[in-house]
Amino acid sequence: MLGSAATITIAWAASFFISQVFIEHATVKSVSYSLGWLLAGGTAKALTIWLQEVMAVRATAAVKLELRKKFFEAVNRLGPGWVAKRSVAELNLLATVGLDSLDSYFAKYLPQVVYTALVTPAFVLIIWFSDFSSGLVLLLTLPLVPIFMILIGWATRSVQQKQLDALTSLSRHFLEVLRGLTTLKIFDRAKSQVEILTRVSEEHRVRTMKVLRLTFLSGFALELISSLAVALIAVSIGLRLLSGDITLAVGLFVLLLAPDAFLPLRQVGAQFHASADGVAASTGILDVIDGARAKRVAAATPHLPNFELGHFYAITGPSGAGKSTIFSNLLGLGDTAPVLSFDESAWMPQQNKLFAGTVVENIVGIGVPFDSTKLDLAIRRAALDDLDGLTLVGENGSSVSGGQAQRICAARAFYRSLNEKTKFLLLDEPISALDDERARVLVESLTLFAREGKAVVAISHQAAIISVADQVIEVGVV
Amino acid sequence: MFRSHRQNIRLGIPKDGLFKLGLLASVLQGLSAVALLGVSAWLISRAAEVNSIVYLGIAIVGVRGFAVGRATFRYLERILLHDSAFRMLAKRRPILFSRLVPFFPGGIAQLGRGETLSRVVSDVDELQNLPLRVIAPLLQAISISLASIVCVWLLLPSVGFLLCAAVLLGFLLAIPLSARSSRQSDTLISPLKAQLSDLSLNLIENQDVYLAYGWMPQKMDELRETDIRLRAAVSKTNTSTGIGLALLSLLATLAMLSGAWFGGLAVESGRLQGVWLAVLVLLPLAIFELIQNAQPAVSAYRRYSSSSGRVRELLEREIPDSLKITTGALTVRNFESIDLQSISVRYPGAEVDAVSGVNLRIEPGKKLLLSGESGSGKSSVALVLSRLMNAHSGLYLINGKPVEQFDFESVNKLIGLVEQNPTVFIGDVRANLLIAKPDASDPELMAILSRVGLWKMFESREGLDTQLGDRGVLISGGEAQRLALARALLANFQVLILDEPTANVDATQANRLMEDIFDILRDDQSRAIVLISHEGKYRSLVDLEIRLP
Repeated sequence: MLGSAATITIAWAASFFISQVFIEHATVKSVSYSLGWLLAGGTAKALTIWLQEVMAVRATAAVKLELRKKFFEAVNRLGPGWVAKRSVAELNLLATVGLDSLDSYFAKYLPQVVYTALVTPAFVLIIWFSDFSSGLVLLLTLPLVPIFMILIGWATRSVQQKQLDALTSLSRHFLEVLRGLTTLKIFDRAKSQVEILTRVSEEHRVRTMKVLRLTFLSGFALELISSLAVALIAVSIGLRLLSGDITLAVGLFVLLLAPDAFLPLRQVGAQFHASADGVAASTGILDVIDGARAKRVAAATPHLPNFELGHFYAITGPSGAGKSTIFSNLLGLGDTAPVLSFDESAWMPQQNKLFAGTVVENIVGIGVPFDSTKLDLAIRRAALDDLDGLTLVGENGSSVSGGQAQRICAARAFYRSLNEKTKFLLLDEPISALDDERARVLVESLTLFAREGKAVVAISHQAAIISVADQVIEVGVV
Repeated sequence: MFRSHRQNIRLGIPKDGLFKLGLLASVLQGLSAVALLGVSAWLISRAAEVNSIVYLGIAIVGVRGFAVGRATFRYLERILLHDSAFRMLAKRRPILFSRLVPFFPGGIAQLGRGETLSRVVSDVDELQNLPLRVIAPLLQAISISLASIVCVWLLLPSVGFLLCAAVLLGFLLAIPLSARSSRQSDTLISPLKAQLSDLSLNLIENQDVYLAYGWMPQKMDELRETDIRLRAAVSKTNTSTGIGLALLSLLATLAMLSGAWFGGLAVESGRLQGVWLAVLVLLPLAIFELIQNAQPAVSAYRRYSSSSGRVRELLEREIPDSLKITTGALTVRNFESIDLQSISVRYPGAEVDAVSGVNLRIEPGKKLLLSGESGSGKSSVALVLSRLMNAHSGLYLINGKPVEQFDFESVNKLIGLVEQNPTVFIGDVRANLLIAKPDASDPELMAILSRVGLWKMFESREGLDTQLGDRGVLISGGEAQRLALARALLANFQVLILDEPTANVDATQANRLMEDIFDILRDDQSRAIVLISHEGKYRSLVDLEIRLP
């Protein structure tokens, strides 16, 4: 608002000065106060530009911070079962790039809409009162801007979507041939790919240009409307100046303000497209947040005994029979309510998940104070005898073998069981990657945990576990 | 340094007439915009002075013409520049691709600086921004500023001089300021964004463990802290962007003021006709609008220059000897023996051999197991055998003659590799199979799929039209391996190298898959098989085991 007041001041001061010196033959000194106004207006305008830039980001950042937190809280409430059904990359994209695209929506588009709604009528009114016929021209041409914007938007929306798809498909094609280049070379197809790539790029260009010709048409129409309106106003002012209907000062003033009356509307149009991504992203994010509010009921888990403390259970069955689903239902990882809470259980998932950090950090958590006696015991029971605790484990366990990863994860569950005194110890295929000797040590530890009063439940198809369990539950066998 | 900039720029400049036409349209567009305001101001001033339309005729035509010109040239500029930029990309992409071909797969690790393939792709796409976002707006702003300064100078040298000073300040002060903010955003914001993305990915990927072990609150706090630091960095950067923009606006006002003051004095003393005063005062508004449009060009150039630098590096990289595959005059259809004699393999840029002293003999119908710990160089031997890489030393003989004497393509048709991670291309089953044999008929493809035990599964879906998804997400690791085997069978390689075919399969499924594969291959009496595996347990399936130390 301050910005448009400044614009008006500048326009008025400049017009007044010019007409005084030129027509009224006033001395520069006698009207120099109007130049003071010009300077004041210019300074104020510069200041608002700076403020706008600073404020816009502050507001969005606060919104983003809150949304990101809510998003992850929702994802956590929805749980691993829900995440497993989605693509991790897609969720991550939503949480990062998706949220960032809100910037253009909150920081640019929304303020611009509000600003336009307030400022455009004010400009029209001022011009209207200064010069009726110029006001009329504006009033007739201004509505053309949104009308054209909407019409062209409709006409090009589907084409634009196609264009976007085409663009991503071209990049994807290029990425795809690079990714598979070795395979293509093996089958002697690398050379032909050069031709194909040329052809695809060319096809893409032709298609894209077709779309762009339409898309840029909207910009052309808007630009044409606003510059023709300015031309119309300039010529009509000129003609009326000839007959002395208006003064030069008013004429120049209106000429200077007219483009500014169009500017906000055009900017809304320009930012509308950028903000479309933001709207799509925010819908995706809000869907996740809303989705997390659904109530859940515990899943019915048939044929499952109550796991009693002090017992060792083995769950077995062919792959695909839903052994892991039992743990998932027990812990409420899917869309059902948990039977056991995380607090009373130590769970070792089938997939060995390791993080960048030391072996010890992978067992007790990063930055968590730990009890070294219990840690030693957990490490011993997990047969983790071939790794120093300070060995660095790469992201996703890239620097340890599959067996070592499995034993680190077992030690993690053991340590939790010892340290937090959880009642249930749930292990999903704990010895599938171990050699016979270490598998024996680990199974022995499981019986020990059971003897110490925990309910130990292990999913496994291996005899080493099935033969020593107190009770074997077979899944998927009729 | 300037040389490298010059070479970077050369990479992204379209070399066709369209580009020059586009630049011309861009300059004419700027000219129309400035002239529209200038002529309008003159028209109105003149109208206040005279009393007949006769004096205004040309100006009225000019105003209308420039108004239409401003919009039309803008449209032409955008169309022409985009078209020429896309044409340029359509040329660069295949060139880069063919330069990269020799580096796969032995030299990818050496491509440099953590280069990922997706970055190569986006770097190439970035090239279009040089003509579109750097050259065109800068050229427009500079040429129009110059033209206006000259015109103003002719009217009144003192104002021309001051306008020149203001424009120079704009280019030298305000634009570098925004360049600073873009540099800040590179050094401050990008790493934080990357960190945030890593954290959030890590959190989602390991959510089950973090929840189960009570580590989630800590992870959430970490994420939030990074988010807060990111917010601070963003607001800092935006402050300097804002200062740059504000400075430009202030300079425009100062240029107007100087035009008013000195122009006014000149009118007063009769050195300037009053009708030009409005032009002197108002022109800076239009000029600085163009300069402001050019402001993002600096940060656009920064982004362009790092992308084009990387692309150029890839284009100029020399092919190391180990990847220069030579071809000879002899063709080979059938083989009696293939020998590797004390072969060593060294990757480009490496100081030591990946493997050395390898001796092996391949004969028709014989099955060989190449075993050894992971990292012992088994896959490197496979690369040499399949001619994807040259041996560092030693002899590679086909039918007793050095492999270099044979036509490369005929060797390529003879020996085939099923990679450890075979590429499953986006698209359907048919497209994935036709890579091996483009003229294969559908019944042929179905037969091959039945042979590798996949047809039932695909038949229950959409047959040969079944989509396999991005990176084969819609099929399992074992199915991908079978598909790769089907491809190799279609190509009818006489020597088939299987590199750890069970690497991406659950331990429980591995044995079955391996037995199946050997079952499938049992019928071909003449085909030689080289199985690569770190597990010795498959030696019962083969005739001979060679163990790498």
